[in-house]
Amino acid sequence: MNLFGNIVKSSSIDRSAALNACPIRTNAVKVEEKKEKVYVTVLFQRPKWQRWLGAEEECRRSFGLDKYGAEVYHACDGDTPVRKIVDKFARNHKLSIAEAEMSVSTFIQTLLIKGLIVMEVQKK
Amino acid sequence: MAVEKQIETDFISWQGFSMPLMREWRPLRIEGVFKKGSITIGDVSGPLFEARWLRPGAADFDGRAWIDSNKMKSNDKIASAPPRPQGFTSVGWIKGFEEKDSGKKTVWWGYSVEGQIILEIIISELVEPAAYEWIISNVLPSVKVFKPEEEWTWRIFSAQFKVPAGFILESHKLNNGDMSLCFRRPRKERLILRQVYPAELALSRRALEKWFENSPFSERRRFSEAKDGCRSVGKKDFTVDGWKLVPFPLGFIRPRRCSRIAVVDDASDRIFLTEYEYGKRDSGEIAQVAVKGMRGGTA
Repeated sequence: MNLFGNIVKSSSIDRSAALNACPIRTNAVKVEEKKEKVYVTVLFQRPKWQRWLGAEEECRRSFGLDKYGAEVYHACDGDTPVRKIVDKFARNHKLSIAEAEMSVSTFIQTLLIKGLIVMEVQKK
Repeated sequence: MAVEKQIETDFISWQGFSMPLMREWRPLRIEGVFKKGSITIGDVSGPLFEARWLRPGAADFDGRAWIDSNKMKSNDKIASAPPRPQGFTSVGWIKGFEEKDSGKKTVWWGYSVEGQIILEIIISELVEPAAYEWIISNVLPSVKVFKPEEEWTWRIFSAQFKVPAGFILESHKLNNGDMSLCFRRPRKERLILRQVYPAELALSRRALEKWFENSPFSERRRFSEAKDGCRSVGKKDFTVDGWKLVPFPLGFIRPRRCSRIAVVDDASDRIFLTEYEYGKRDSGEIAQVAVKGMRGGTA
């Protein structure tokens, strides 16, 4: 955290360390399936400026995941490393490892940003 | 007894040659055209080796002399018993070759008279010993070249295409889930091959017929359906014959016949799209052959 209370971004993590990390789903308020889609509702902490304007500290946010998204989301069980998720995804959809890695890692980044999963990465 | 970890392999096939790769390896950079170019192969950690191709063109080209002249540049580092893959008439290699500001490298050359191609494979000696050993003992001896008069296989990532003899790659668009290659043959024939996957997702966004509307390659001519041509539209296959015309009012200038075929392959969950432009006297059979060639290309 810097002088103004903002979180300073740490240096980027090693690619192989990220692939060996095990993502885990955060506690969802609600998970429901509708028309081949999975809807995940999580608690979201509003940013400071919204709270200053009088908004509640927490709110609920829902995200709709399609078949492929749900597959990756359910694979994030805290025991399976990203590398294995990629490998399984590649086999299931007959893709090369490189293609699966690109798709899955981008999607995992999105899940992290949205707060649907967390991931502990070992730094060197 | 120690159980050896089984290494899963794949292969890459590009510009008339193919080679095996470990499943985790991938092309990192592709450059060049039919005559000359390079492809860099690597893994998560970075590049492992580079394959360069060169087509000398001249009928009296001496591949042996070319390889010898390259070996002479490095004097005392010439290694013995270079791997000799099938179809190569002359081979040679050097080890421990060092250029300015770069680590030691192993360089292998091969010349194939049948394939009319020179291959230069440069392997960094800084890569992991296991990977280096795998390249030397598995990649180099298994390099294969295609003859110009035979059908060529093109394989990149998980997409595979088979192209009749004589077609030269003009341009390519390799996007994740949408691979397109555009070929040309001197007799004004143009063949566009495309794979879109997963098909289920692609079809949920756009109907099969609509996938032809946004061509990945720019062109002046517009497609116009032929009144007398074949048209069959199904849920999982689509065939239509037509013409490729210069826009109005110049449509009468050298119109070309065009055959478009799209097939949904359930086994691989992919859409195979082919567009073949050809002269009035030719037949559109190549489009069907090309669609068949795309099957079985998945990892």
